[in-house]
Amino acid sequence: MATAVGDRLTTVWTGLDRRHHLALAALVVGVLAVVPLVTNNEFLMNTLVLIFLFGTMGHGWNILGGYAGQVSLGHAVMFAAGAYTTAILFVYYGITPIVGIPVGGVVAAVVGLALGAATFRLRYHYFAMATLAAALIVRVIFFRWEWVGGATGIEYPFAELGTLASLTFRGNLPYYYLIGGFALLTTLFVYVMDRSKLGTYLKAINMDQAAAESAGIDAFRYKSYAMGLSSLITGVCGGLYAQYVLYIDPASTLRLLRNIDIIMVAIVGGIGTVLGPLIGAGVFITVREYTRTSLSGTQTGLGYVIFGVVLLFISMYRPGGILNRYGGRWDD
Amino acid sequence: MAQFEVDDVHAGYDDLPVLKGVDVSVEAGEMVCMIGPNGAGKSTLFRVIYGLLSPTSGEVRYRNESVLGLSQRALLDHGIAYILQRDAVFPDMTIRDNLEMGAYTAPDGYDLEAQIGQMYDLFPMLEERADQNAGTLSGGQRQMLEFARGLILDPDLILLDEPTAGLAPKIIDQVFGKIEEINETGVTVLMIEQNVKTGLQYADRAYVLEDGQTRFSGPADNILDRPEVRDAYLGGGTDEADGEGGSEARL
Repeated sequence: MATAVGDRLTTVWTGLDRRHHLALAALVVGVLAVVPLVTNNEFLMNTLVLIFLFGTMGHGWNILGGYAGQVSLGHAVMFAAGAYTTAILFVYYGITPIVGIPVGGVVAAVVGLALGAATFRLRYHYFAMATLAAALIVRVIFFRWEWVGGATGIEYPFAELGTLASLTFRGNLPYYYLIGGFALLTTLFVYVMDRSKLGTYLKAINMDQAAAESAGIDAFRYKSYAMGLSSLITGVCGGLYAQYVLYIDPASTLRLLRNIDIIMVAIVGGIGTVLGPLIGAGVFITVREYTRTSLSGTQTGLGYVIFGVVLLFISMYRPGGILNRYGGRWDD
Repeated sequence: MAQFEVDDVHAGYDDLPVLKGVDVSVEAGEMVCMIGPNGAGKSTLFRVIYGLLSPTSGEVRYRNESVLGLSQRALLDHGIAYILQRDAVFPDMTIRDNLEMGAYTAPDGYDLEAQIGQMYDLFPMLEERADQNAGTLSGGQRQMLEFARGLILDPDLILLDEPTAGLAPKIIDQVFGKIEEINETGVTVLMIEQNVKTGLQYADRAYVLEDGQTRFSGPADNILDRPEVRDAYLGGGTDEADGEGGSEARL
């Protein structure tokens, strides 16, 4: 059934032209924009905020992993770079997150480019392993680094919350629009990129790097562009996450599963597709939040078990993800 | 003056020298075939020419200008195209998009539509299937697409790395027929070929590479008749390899 639904979605989407895409997107955005006016259900709002956040992170990962084909298992590093930069600038130096979040994105992009420069010579699983190793090393460093709070991390001071300069809010509503807005912006960017020359070159490198190089495409340069953009988006997500939870530590920002979460939403939704990460985040976060709240206490890990089963079925019946860029042919 | 020259190139991997003095000289408009047993250094030579491997000494010149160590893009800008040995199309792009990718480095004022039109004239099959994904093509058709992609910038010299590798015998003649057609439009062709007999049938001249050195060169049609070539290339046993069937079996 999931296969049929996914095929249907893929066909409907690819069968439409640009005007219809925008009209459909406007409709979805319109509905989402009025949701908070209709309900103020905490659970629903929190779930949607997290879907926006994870969907956007999925977008970030997807530019590098889905389009350029460089599977990074270390994107938590860029996420943490953005989160820590934002929190440190605000809590230590009193710099507003309105500045801190973009700076965090830039720091994450620089970190990503450095990581890329060191690892882009590696291909396939060697690249994935190198990025995973980087994530594990950074995690250990942050656990021991006193200046960034070590294992206890950094907490936002309660007294300064709620002001515009702090970009922190009571209640979910402002976060809903803030993070939702960034999700929308990122989605539009990926939509344009997908059809741009950059998107085409990244796909070409993904399909056959040697062939792309023989056509004169500088693979290293384009992979670096992808890494920079991917890291920037992931870093901004880190900053937004810090603003939302008001507390960051290595255990939450750099845990191993964080790397996997980011990839999961892209893979489930459809790797290398514009809407895949959002759809994947919808499935992933809904399952996770529902199981987390309704099965609280002893069965906290159950969400991952259920999601694991979902993932298993997707990999068996729809290996390209719910929206399948390759129309069923993925193993090639 | 030769259009393209390889001058005393030595190269290898770590401590293993593969090329121990290779000299090649190709005139404009020629079709030259490099042959030699496995491990003779044919692919290594192409890697050096295409800037994927740095030689320890020697020089590669194009129109009397050194092109050693240039990027693939710079070589394309010089008018040298490289067509990879294996199947190297972009399977999830249409044939037209594949051709457009070939024009990635096109200079200002380049007429993409006209060039694509020329490629369609040369390979009508590609026009019929322009909107089809390249992944749906057969092996021989993919090879044609690769040729077209390599030719779209109108290069003066194409390097072909085993253009018929992995193709059915029936297709091989067609592919060589196309290479000959390309050559007749004035494009210089330098190729490595494993299907020695067929390759030599079509080429003007051949080089025999053995143990990292160019041992012989001469007109392609009689190079296999030279006893020293047969000796080197067939690894001795000249007498037995005399007959048609005998030499083919060994090749």
